[in-house]
Amino acid sequence: MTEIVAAILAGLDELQRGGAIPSDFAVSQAGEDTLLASIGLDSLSRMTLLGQLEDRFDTLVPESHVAGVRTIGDLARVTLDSCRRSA
Amino acid sequence: MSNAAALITGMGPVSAIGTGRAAFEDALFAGQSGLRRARLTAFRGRGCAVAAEVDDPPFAPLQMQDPRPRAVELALRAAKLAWDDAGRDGDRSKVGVVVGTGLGNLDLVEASVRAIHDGARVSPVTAFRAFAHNAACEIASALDLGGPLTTVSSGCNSGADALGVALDWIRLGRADAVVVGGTEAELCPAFLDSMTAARGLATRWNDEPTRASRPFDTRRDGNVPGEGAAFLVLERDVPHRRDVAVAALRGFANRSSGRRQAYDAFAPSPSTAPAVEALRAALADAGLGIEQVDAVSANGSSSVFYDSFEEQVLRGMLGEHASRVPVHSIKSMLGQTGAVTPVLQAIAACLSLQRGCLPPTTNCDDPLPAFGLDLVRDRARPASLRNILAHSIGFGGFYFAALAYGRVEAT
Repeated sequence: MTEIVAAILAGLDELQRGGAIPSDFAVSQAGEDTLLASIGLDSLSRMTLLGQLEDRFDTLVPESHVAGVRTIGDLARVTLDSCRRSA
Repeated sequence: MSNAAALITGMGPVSAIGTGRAAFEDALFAGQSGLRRARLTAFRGRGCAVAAEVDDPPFAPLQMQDPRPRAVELALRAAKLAWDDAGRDGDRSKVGVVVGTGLGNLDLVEASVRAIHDGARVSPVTAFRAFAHNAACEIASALDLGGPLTTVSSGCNSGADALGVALDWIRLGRADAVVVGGTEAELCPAFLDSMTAARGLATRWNDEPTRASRPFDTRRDGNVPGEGAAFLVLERDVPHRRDVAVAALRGFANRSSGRRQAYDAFAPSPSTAPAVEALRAALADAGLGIEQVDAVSANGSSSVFYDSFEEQVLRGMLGEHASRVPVHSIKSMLGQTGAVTPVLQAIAACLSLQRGCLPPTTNCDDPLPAFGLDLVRDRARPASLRNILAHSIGFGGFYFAALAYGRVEAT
């Protein structure tokens, strides 16, 4: 779980450097409870972030698991669940 | 322009459950699945491995010196079947062709890029064969049709919009008859990988392919992609062709969602209003009231989001009639074949009107919570049918189309 959260934060950092996240959001302050809505990610950036996680952890998160995701912790959990299922 | 109906006199389905009217009809009403392990697996082996593939005509790898794109081969087979089925004699100079295709000839585009990358020359015919209008040109040539000719590309609704164009041509007197349909060969890496990244495809049923497309079921997890073609012969309503007609196309409408954001899997929130409006406008175009709708052919694509969305749309549109009007989805057996699906829905509607029976929606073992529609589940259901309304949801919920079909009274 910690490894996945770290990967999400690294992905957010990369997106911010690419200009996809407003510069006033402090990635270093973000954690499991951070709401994705508060980050200012657009829908394509969210998909890009999820795609990066899937590549990194060699899994695929089904859409039915994505709909309820609200926080960074939720995103990490659905990724972890998918890893367990595909293991 | 009058709101006259057009006769449907010929049908040519080329699908995963059968090619030709008889084979398609038998499989459709028996609830036979056309889904199986695909020859190409999406997304580096981790994604959807199920597809609706067509055996007739058989798949053949592209020969790069004389490339025949899959969508063109499928379309030619379907258009010829429809033309033969209609048995129309006489002047072909006022017979038009409209083809709907979402991706056109992506297989040839991909193969050409690969060939160039490998340092090979591409054939002089590649450009002509690769453009989306190629299928329409080949059909007009093969059948020697001299009327108006065009191609419509509007994603998954291409086939529906093609039918709308053909209906307009007949109403306006631009054509006496139109060979109209959809063709799609979307089983290509660029499409499959993109749809997987967008979380659009079913990934959890790879070991049980026939159960992968589950319209309105709680365990659905995405579309099952497919290939195919389907064509109709549409004709001006004249008395001597009425006994040949299987049904009539009575009305059409499409609507845009206006300004909206790209589809967001985390928080989709499109309005149901444009879809409801498209359905109501198609009925108005057909001169029908809601009380005259006897069944609905749903988009029902097994999409996690859009099946719930469509349930709300149809409930909203049908209102107090929701408990009376049965609903079904052919995609449970046929998958999501892009431009082709609306035309396969048209063929299913014609056959339903003719038989007085609706095809089943398979795999809906556990309908959505608080499901407010009368879904025809598991097996075909006899019904008294005069008019059927068909619904199509366009890519990403940006646009919607609806078509109304009715029985033809013999003269």
